[in-house]
Amino acid sequence: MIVFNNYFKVLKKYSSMIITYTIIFVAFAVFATNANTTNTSDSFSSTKTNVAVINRDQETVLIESFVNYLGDNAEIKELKDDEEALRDALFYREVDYILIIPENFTDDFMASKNPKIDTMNIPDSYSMKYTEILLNRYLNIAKVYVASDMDQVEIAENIKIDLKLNANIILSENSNMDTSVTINYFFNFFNYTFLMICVYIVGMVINSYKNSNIKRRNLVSSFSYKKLNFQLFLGSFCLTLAVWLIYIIISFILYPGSMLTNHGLLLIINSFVFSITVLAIGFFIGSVVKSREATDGIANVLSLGSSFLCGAFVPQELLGSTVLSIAQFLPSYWFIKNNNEIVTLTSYDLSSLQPILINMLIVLAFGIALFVANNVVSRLRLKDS
Amino acid sequence: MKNIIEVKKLTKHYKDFKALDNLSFEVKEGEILGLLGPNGSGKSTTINCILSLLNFDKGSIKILGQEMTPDAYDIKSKIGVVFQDVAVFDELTVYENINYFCGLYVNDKKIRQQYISDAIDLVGLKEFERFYPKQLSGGLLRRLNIACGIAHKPSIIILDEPTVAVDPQSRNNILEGIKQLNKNGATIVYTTHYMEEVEILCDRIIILDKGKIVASGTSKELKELVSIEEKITVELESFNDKFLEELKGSKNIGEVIYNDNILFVTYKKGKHNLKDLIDFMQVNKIKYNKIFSELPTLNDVFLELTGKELRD
Amino acid sequence: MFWHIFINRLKILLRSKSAIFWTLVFPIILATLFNLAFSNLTSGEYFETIDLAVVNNDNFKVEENFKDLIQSLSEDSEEQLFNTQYVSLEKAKTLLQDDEISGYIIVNDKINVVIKNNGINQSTIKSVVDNYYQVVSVINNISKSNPEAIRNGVLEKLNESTSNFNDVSNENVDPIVVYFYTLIGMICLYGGTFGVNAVIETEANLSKKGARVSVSPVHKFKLLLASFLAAIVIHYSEVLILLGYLLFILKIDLGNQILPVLLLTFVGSLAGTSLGTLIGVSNKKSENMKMSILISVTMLFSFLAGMMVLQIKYIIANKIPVLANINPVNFITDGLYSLYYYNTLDRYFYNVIGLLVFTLVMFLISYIFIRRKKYDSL
Repeated sequence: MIVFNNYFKVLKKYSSMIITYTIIFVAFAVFATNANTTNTSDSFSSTKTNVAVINRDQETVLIESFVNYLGDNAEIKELKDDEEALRDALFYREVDYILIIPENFTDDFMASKNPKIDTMNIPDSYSMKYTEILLNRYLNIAKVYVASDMDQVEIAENIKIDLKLNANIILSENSNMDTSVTINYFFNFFNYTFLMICVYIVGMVINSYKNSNIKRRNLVSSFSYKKLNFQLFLGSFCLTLAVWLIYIIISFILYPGSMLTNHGLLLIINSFVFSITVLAIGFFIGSVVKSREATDGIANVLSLGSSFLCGAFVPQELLGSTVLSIAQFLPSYWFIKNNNEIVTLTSYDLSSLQPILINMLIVLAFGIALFVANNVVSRLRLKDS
Repeated sequence: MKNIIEVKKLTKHYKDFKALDNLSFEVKEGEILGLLGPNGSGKSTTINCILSLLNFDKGSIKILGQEMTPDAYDIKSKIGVVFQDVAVFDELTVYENINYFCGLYVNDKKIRQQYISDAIDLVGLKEFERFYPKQLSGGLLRRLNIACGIAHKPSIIILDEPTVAVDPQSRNNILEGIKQLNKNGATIVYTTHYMEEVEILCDRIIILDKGKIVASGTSKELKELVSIEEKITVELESFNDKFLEELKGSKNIGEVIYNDNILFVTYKKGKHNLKDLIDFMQVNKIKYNKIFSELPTLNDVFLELTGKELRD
Repeated sequence: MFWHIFINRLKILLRSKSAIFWTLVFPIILATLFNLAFSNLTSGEYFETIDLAVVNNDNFKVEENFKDLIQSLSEDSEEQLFNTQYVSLEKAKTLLQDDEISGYIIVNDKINVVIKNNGINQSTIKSVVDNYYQVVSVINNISKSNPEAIRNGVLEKLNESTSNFNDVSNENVDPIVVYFYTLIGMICLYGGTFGVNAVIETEANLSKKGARVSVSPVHKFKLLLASFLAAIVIHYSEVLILLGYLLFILKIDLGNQILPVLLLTFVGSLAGTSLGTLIGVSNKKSENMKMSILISVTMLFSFLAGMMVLQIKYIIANKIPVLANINPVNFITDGLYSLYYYNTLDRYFYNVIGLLVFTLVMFLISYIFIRRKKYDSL
């Protein structure tokens, strides 16, 4: 077991890398969790766009009432009245819509002069359409009241009553108001760090053995090639398993509630199946690629590339169809697809589990194909030397 | 003969460690001076001070009669240095490497081409001209390292352990090359901890230990410093304490050691030492298989002067 | 002599495969991935007519005003909100179940909106129905307080929609471009690898090669200058290749003015080299270690400039402006952003100057180390 033991001595060298990537991973997971816990209630609540109001007019009753109305129907954000500050905030989606109420707005409005509010928005966006519906509703009603000779106070009072009238919302059967499915983000992002760590380290170690191996084999002929390969495999397997375990433990620490469910169990099985394929990838790259620099580059490109293409960073539903059709040729795609499907499962009979199992089999098939390819390549190499 | 390099009272500390202690010596025109000492004795520090790479605490260094400074470009242009470690660009071929370093000294392209091909011939790398350093073995790399240091035909050449970890063939090639350079008129300073090299190569030897000069002179002069004249080793079939005591009482004997059928005798000054020993054994009917006689080496000189071995 | 060094440095840099990979090939791969992954990211932001079903029962048929409202909002025009199907209740239920529609409306004694989940589409449907009720209330109010007004046609004002606003938005509002700008910032700083390399191979105390060139009769600053020039020529060419790739292959919008982009990225290339120089010369760690430091620092700068999460750039600029004002990647990103988003060059020049100051400071600190000609130890 010399090679096997040695494997773990070599591993020490890479411990700082494992730690770095794990920290990035946890930071990302925490960020994703916070960013996506928008709504956990099981009743309807209207979407609120982020709106900033810059009032260059006096503090009038009309404007106060208008702003209060906005506050009920949108999220009001405070911004400095500065051209660049406003435009930056809109660009970076700090706000979806900016209203700049001009001087003398109230006076002109009450005089039916149709004053205009300057707006900045994201042209043709949902948020713009929706916010304008809300704004027009108030302004148009107010205009009618002005035309029927009401003063500001009367308008404010009447509108308050009018706008309390609402449509009746009915939730259909099978409704799913809970949008807090962050646990699959965690496992999707796992694709990046796990691939990077395992492919890099397995690749590097195998690489160094294969290169020094030719000498070793000539020197110690009793140490058979098969034995060496087996021990390398065992070492890589243990490494992959250990890293996988670390991440499963982290998932339990971060999401104890969600992990102790059927979803959690399926996600663990899914990630384990993926780990086997990752091991095969690392093994294959270690044997095929000759230099350490190239291994480094390939591990980076592979982990980043598959993560971008297969939806580890950007959700699959936001990827273009061409991207997704390319992604289908990568195991990561099926792994991530499966994560997303697992968290939407509502029943666990065989027919609903069937697509999940098929996805796992596809991931596994990639792994087996790579092991076979690896064997073929190794044999050819052996003949060459 | 005029002094090419003059080192006077050179003292250098690395923090609390005294690396050079009041070191003074000179290098004379046309000679090969060997700086011999164990690892850590201050050889490389001395070289780096001479080259004005290192600050030193006290002392002065003159080269060609002029104070050596980092800006003394006219002096620098006459020096060629081969450092202990291989320092070449992996991205450049053998030829390009030599061309690059030579080009820092020699502007004229035609002359440079001639110089480069001379250097390649000298170290015997003709057939490897287009190779990249990664394709060369350790010994060939050392040769390239030397070619890079001396291609500009300097009149002063400083070599800092150029043969560490080199195969015998490359070592011979290197030593021959250095002799050739010296024959062509270069003054050479050569540091090493291989005493054999110094004996073959150097006109004059300075032995360093702990930053101090322990002894200096020609190989012969140095050996005369030693009380030992001859070391004789005999392989015996049997021996006893009586003979041992008797032998210790003989004339000129320094030390007698017997261990596992091997008898080791050192003789102080005197003649017919070997004959005396053989006579002694014949008289006492002691049977012996083999007998070797060795003259003292620089290692013995070092051992006697410092009480420790040259190589650690 | 200068050209001899320069030409050879060019050769050395061009042949260092892994440096070229990380400073050119890798950013191009990243840009391609960004492009593939982000191309649809903001398309979800843009409005598409909402699929709606209305249960075509008797109650609906009677509610004339509501019928008109839905019809007018479903007509093919600038103002179209809905893509409406009039169907049976059963059909409406199936459509909702299969996610073919965002919700359906069924009129019983009240108007009901049936939905499956929360979202902006559902909220829009609801607000249209809300509005219908509210208008009814308004009419009631006015007919009580001022019936005269109704006869004068005040109610027509209720349907005016666009005339309340004066849109002063910018045209370019796609934030995705900023990801590519941070990428350009990152590759600029990757120029530091050449800076690290240049000083290490010149300083006697940092490498054997440095010692070797230090004993040659060439002034150190001449050596450094030639090395830097070669580094910048190679690196800026790489930046230009990346810019060309972004502009012509990926068709990323870099604003309308190309010259300011070229100037900014050139200064960026200098800034990268200066950062590498400082990291290279200020400590005695191994070359690998220095490269790792450079890459980590660059990654951190890129992260703070929004490369992983766009909003980080905005948050930093507003909450911790100091951090934004020492971050070279942020200067490059913000400079490119201001060319894309703003018509004036003020902010652009602020960034160029910020970047120049950064470069100068890096070189000045480096100079403290570089000016030494003799060392205490090698």
